[in-house]
Amino acid sequence: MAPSTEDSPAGIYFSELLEKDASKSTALAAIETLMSTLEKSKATTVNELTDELKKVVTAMQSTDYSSTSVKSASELFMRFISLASLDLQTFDECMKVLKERGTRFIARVAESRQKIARFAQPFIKNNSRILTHSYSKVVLEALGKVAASGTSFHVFVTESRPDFSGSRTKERLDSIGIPCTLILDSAVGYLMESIDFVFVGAEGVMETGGIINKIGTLGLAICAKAMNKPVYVMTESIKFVKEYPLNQQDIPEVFKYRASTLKENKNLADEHPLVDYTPPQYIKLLFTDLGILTPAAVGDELIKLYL
Amino acid sequence: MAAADVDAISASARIGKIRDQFIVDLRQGRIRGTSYHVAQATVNFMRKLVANCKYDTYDELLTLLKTEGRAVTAAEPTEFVVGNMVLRILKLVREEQTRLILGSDDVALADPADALHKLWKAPEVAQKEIATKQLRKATIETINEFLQEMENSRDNISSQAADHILDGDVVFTFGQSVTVDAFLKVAATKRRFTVFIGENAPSCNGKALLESLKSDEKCSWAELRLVEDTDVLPSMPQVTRVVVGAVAVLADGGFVASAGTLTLCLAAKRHAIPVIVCAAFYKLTPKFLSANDQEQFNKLLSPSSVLPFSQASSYGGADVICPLFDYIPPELVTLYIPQTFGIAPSHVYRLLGEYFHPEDIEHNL
Repeated sequence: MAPSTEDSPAGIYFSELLEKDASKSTALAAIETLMSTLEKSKATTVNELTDELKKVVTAMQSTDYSSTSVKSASELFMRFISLASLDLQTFDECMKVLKERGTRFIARVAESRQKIARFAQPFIKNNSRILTHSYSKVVLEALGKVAASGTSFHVFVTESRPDFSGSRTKERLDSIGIPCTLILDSAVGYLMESIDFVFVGAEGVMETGGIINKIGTLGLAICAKAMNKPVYVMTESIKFVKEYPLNQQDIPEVFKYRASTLKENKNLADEHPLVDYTPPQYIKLLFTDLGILTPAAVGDELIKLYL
Repeated sequence: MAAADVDAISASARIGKIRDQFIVDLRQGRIRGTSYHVAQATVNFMRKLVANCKYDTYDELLTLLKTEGRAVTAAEPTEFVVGNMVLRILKLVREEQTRLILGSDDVALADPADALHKLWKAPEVAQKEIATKQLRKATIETINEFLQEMENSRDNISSQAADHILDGDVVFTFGQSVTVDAFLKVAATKRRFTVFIGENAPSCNGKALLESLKSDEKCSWAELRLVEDTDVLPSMPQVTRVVVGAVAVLADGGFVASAGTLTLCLAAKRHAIPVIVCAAFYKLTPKFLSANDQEQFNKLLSPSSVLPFSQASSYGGADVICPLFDYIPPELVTLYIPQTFGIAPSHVYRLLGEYFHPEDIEHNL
C-alpha cells in the first residue's frame, strides 16, 4: 500500500513509521504521529491544539492504510486530550501533563501484543489445528510466542484475495518454523470440519462487539459458527471504535474502500470492498490487552470512555 | 541458631500446619456437604492466615496469601470454589489497603486496573506504609462481613423464586442442588406448579431432592415426578422452565454442572424453553474452559456404580468412564441468578470485574 501522492508532512511521517517497522500496527503509528505533533506543537490554547491534531488525523486518513484503525486510535487520543484539559487550569500545565500521559499511553499500547499473546496461550493445546485469515500482526506474534514456548500446532491460512495477504502470513510462519498450509479462500467450508478453532485479527472492533476486518472474515465466521468451531479475535484495545453498524451497507465507506479509490470518484458498485463486518454473534471471545472479553464487554468499555 | 531464625522456622511451620490441615480436610471430604461449606472453609482458612501469620508489610501479606492460596487451589483443582475464594480474598485485601491509604471508600476510582478510559493514567494511589496491626484488623473485619454475605446468599437467591416461577408452570430440574431445593420451596409457598426431577444416574441424587420436596409441609405441589435420564428429551414438550444449579459459573458465561445437565439444556434449547441457573456468587470462576478440554475441569469417578467390578470381566476390554461434570456453553443459558438480581450470560464478565483483581486472575490462568 503506497501512500498517496499529495500527502501532508504528517501523512508522510505516519506512512514512514509504518514502512520502517513492518511489525508496527497502524493504530500505534497513528498515535505516535499524533504524539509527535503534540510535542512539536506551538499551540497556545486547547482549541488550537485540537484543530492542529484534527488536521493530522485527516491527513492520515487520506493515506491508503486502514482507515478503521486510524479512526479508532485518533478518537481515543483526542478523547484523552479533552479529558485531560478538563482537569487542569492553565494550558502550559495541561501540555506538560499531556506529554507525560501520552508517553505512558504509547508504552502501554506497545505492550498490548505481549499481553494478548499471554492470554491466548492456554487456549492453544498441543496438536491444535488453527485456521486464520489474511495477515494479522497480533495473531502472528501470539502464534510465535506460543510456538516458542514448546507447543506444536498446525496453522491453515487463507490466501485472502485480492491482495494475497495470506501468503505473507505463510512466509512469516515458515520463517519461524510453524507448520502452515496456504488454502484457497473457497476451501474454508471444506476445511472447517477438521480444524479446532479460528483466530483472526481485526482492523476495528465496533461498539456491538463485532469486528471490521479483511474481506472474507464474515464468511469464515459464519461457516465456523455453523460447524460449532469457536472464533477468537485478537486485537489491541486501541482498535475499539464508536461505530454501530447494523449490516454491511452500514459500514462507513471510508472503511470499505481505499482513500485513493474514493478520491477517483469511481462507481463504487464496481469496486471490491476491502473489509466486511462480522457481527458479534459469530465471535466467541476477544483477546485484548484489557483481558479476555466477550463481545458484550466491548460496548461497556466504550461507554465508560465516553461517560 | 539465632533467635530470628528460630522465629522464622516456627512461623513457616505454623503456616504449613494450617495449610496441611485444610488440604487434608478438603481431600478427605471432611468439609461436609455443599460447595457453600467448602467456600466457607476456604475463607476461614484465609482468615486464619491473615490473623495468625507474621508479616510486616502489605506486600508480604499479599505474597503470603498468594503462595498459600495457590497451594490449596492446586490441591483440589476441581473444587472451583476454593480458587474463587482465594482470589476473592486477595481482592478484598487489596481494596482494604487502598481504603486505608485513601482514608475513604472511593476504592473504585483508585483501582489502576486496565480499562480503555484509563490507558494513559498511572496508578494514582501513592504507596504508603500502613501499620500491619491496622491492616490485619481491617482485613479481618472485611472477611467477616464477606462470610455474612455468603451466608445470606441462598436466601437472596430464593427470595426471587416467585418472580421466575408462575402458577401452572412445569419446572424441570436435574439431580440435587441445595440452592435449587431452597429456590423451589420458596416458590412453592406462593405458587402451585409441577416439578420434574431428572434422576441423575449413577448417583441418582434426584431421588433425594424428590424426598426433600415431598417432605416439606409448607409447600403444596401440583405434581412431583422423577424422570429417568433417558426421558429428558421426550418429557421436554410439557416443560415450561428449566431450573438447575451450577458447580461453577465461568468467565465466558458458560457453566459447569453435574454430568447430564448438558443433555437437559440442549433438550430445552430444542424446545425453546428458558434455562435458569441458580448459582451463588462464590461460584463465579474467572476461567475459560471449553468442552474440548475435559481434563481442565472434569473429574472421573469410579465406574463401579455404572458397571460393578463383579461383572466387569464379562465386558472384556471395554472402557467404562464416569465423568462428574458437564460444561454447558453460554448459548444454552437464559439467565443466571447469582444474588439479588438475575444477569444474562453475556454479562457475567461484569461481576467478575467486581469480584476479582485482574492481576490475580492473570497469575491464576
